[in-house]
Amino acid sequence: MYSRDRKKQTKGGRPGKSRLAPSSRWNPSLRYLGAFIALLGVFYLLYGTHVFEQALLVPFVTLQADVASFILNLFGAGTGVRDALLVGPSVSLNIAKGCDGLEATVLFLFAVGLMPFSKKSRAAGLLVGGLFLVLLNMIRIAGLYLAKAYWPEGFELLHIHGGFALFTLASVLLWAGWAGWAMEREKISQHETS
Amino acid sequence: MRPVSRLIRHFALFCLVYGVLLSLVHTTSVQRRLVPVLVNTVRWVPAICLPAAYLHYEPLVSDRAVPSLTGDAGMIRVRFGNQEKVTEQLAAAKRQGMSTASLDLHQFDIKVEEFFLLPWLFFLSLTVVTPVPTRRKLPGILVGLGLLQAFSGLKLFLYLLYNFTLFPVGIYELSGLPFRITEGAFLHLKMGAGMIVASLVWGFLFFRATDWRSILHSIAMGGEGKGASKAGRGLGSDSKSTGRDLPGRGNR
Repeated sequence: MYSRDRKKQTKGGRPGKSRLAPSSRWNPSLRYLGAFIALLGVFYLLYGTHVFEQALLVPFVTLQADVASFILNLFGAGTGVRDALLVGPSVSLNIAKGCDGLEATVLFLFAVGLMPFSKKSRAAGLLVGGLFLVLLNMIRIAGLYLAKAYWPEGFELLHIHGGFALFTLASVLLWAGWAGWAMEREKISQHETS
Repeated sequence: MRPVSRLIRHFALFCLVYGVLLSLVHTTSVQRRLVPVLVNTVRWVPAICLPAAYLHYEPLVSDRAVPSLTGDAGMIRVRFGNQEKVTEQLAAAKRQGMSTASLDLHQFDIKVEEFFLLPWLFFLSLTVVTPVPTRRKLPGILVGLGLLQAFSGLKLFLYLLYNFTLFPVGIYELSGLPFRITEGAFLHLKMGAGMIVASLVWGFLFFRATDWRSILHSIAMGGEGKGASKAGRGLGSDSKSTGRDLPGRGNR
């Protein structure tokens, strides 16, 4: 959203008038928030459709179940996958809509994509961060299966608070970490060019 | 401290705050006070938007005396019907001299933890670990919780509209796109959406054009509190927001 402004600022040696320097200090925040909400609206509209579910969500969830099962089988859990169901010898875990980790991942992707950094920095963030969160969700699914099998009374706690709160926190912290990295990276590249 | 260590430290601190708050809200005495407050601060939304509806909220709090992390934080039973019909039924029962009346009501349950508390706890914990001065955190918490309650009120309104169509009582029956919107809200505005809204509220309240760089830099790279507290006093301020004016410089 602000990448062009960023270029304007960094190409010249002097600070130019940019959209990051408006008369009101809230304007850029509101613009960022507006774009964010618009993208989220589009996401939720798509998320509820049958086409999205069949074309993207089901294959994505099945892939997550497959990898989670693979991780569990490395430790001899003896699990298999049936659609979005992780089936084991004693328990099975249904990866329901909402447990796919997609909302927290999308939160991260939109947050990175809209930040006023260079395209390279954002592309790196989207790719590495996105993959990290997908992998983390697979580990989360494997962990929830183990909780259901060995600590059933703690399953809901881990499902709700570990699954949603901590996974979203991971997404937020990953975004902050990426932003810190991008700032340092662009500071170094500016020093090199000046 | 290395960036990864800093992020892990923030993660651990968040978990600590979150765990303490969670065990608090799982205490029955806290629940008994908190659940009615949660209901009373959102019930005005459907009351204003659905004036022809009869709405009754019944908090269902568990009798557990000892706080438990693995327990739940109670439920709210929402009973709804047609205000006009309910008034008629009550009047008819009174005419017949009956002490109780049979009302044409439907109901659905809301899990307090998923509907209200998860975004609350997430927002509060995130705010506590955010490196901004306390004088900015406190009003931020109040405004943030207000915004989250407004979102919960909106969700409750959409849930009610969906249920009025699903269990018709002669009012607010929707069809076509409006019904699909309420259906989508009922099916998809769950915990994940609550987390996203809590994150957005947090970002909106604590990241300003003047200091978002310094706050993010403080979280990821260090200099906790300093960068953010100096915001507006030069570091990353609007007039100096150039490509070279990066937060790390302000912390050295």
